[in-house]
Amino acid sequence: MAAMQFETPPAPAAAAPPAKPFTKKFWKSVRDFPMLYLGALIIVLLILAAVLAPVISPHNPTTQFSDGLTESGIPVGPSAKFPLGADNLGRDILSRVLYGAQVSLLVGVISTVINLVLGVLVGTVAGYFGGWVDNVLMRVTDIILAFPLLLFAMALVAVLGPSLWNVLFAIGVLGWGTMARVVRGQVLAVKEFEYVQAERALGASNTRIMFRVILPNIIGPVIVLSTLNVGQNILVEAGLSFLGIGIQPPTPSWGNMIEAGMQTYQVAPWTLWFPGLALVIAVLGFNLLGDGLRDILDPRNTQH
Amino acid sequence: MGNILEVENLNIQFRLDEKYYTAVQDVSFSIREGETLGLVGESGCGKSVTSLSIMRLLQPPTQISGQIRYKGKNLLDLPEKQMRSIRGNEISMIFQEPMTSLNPVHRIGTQISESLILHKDLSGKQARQETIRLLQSVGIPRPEQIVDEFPHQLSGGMRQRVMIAIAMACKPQLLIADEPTTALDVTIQAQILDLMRKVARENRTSILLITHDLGVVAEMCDRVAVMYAGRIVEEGPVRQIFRNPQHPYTQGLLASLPKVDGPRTRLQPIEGNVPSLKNMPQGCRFAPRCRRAMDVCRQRDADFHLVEDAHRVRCWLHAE
Repeated sequence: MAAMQFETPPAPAAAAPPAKPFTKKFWKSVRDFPMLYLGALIIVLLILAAVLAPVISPHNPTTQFSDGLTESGIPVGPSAKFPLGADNLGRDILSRVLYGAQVSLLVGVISTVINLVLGVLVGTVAGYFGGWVDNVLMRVTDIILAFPLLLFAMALVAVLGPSLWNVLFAIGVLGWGTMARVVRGQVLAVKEFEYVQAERALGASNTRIMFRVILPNIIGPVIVLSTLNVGQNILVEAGLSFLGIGIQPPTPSWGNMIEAGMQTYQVAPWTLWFPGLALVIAVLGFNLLGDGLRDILDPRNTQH
Repeated sequence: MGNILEVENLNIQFRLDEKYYTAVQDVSFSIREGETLGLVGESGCGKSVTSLSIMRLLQPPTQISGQIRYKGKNLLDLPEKQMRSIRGNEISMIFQEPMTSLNPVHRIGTQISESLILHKDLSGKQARQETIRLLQSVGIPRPEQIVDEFPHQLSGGMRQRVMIAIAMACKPQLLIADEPTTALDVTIQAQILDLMRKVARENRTSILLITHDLGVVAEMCDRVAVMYAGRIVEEGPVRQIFRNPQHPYTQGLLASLPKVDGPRTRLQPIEGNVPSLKNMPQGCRFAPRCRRAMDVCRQRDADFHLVEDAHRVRCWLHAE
């Protein structure tokens, strides 16, 4: 009986659903992808720290304070004057960490842009043309990938001389291997689609097909990889600076701060902790953002 | 009326496992100005390959010989750059799958105006207006809005209309339509065919219609060429082919179609399968499936014989 009484079915798709207010959509999205937003938040804070470093730092990052060291020459711990303590030369660690964010972001982002350009170029050309072009370019990529990036960059910086721009350049021209491989794989898949053939039938040139037709279709993975790449490159920069061939003291960089912290770790552990913590949080932020973007851009993920 | 396209002794070979196999052999046909030629055959008989070779879109390793003359120029000899200025401009193409032949990341308008900007040197603004006019002419409602939509917002039939708009944007002399309605519903098919006929007539465009659907051929074409296993076996005006098919393969194709009128009889399939590229029979390629095959059929392939005016068939049954 009951089954015969059909109620008018609710018309879900017929009328356009009332547009949700933006804030509501935003919070739903935050609930769906909490890690993505955490990563984004970290990065925003990082950028603020770097940009506002001259304003919000309590001290000049290179000023050596006599009251930063105890009478026996040990760095003082966190206090009102030095919120995160002082380092082995009596400089304020908070100020140095904030200024260090400038270096890390600068190197991380610009070297990634260089990686991006080179990797996309090599990967697209290799995947699109195939044959011997592919072979040559991918073998070069294999060679690039066969060396540990840090070691390779060390060699290059050793030749060029240590400076911010040389570090950035070295990481930029050496770190595009993974990008090239990923892009090539994506291009191989996309170039078989009928719309690529259709575009060719319209008289489009190879360059046009590669960069106007195929590239926009693979932009998702490229963005994800680039984001992860920034974190990676920040680490390499820290590594180089730690080894003394990156950013040269007294310019603060998390890498050279950690190196300096190593010497006083026994008596003043905060000299090591805080730059280390900053580095971990920054890289974590980029990794969370990258993973989150991957989830969002994954077509199999229908949540959004 | 002159011939817009003449294909002469076209041979296409593919390389498989280090050996070349002939996919298209000795194919010749021509299309007059404003004419629609149907190229009919089963899957794998070489009709799509033939159409791609006209556009020079076959990927290596492929060997092509013979001549493909468009307005007297052999397209196979043209440098790539000149070929590009012909593609989409003088000869354009409609593909089978409307769902996948539009680029998902670009707006409809961008994809149509692209070839106008590329070939006709229109400014962005002019191209946009022309695009809206084109969308209107292919029967798309609300063209001013659709122009800014993405392909996934349109149905299959709508997308095929967009494909036609793209193909006709530069008013080509020749339109190659590779199974343009195969992926569509029957009702939409008729609409799309009507549309193609209409826009072709308006622009005096010749059509090379590739299909396996004889119904579509009957509706659209002036002449038809029947292909089997890489060769043309029969060619002639549509009416003659349908009324008086001469090649046993053509006869078989027509006999396997259901008829609306006349006595109800069982449909007659053609026994057997299309031979594979690697395993072509000697002599006439249809001989193994032909009920009327003779000894000579299995040894040598026949030449063309004229049946009636402009109706020729490649079969030993018609040899004098």
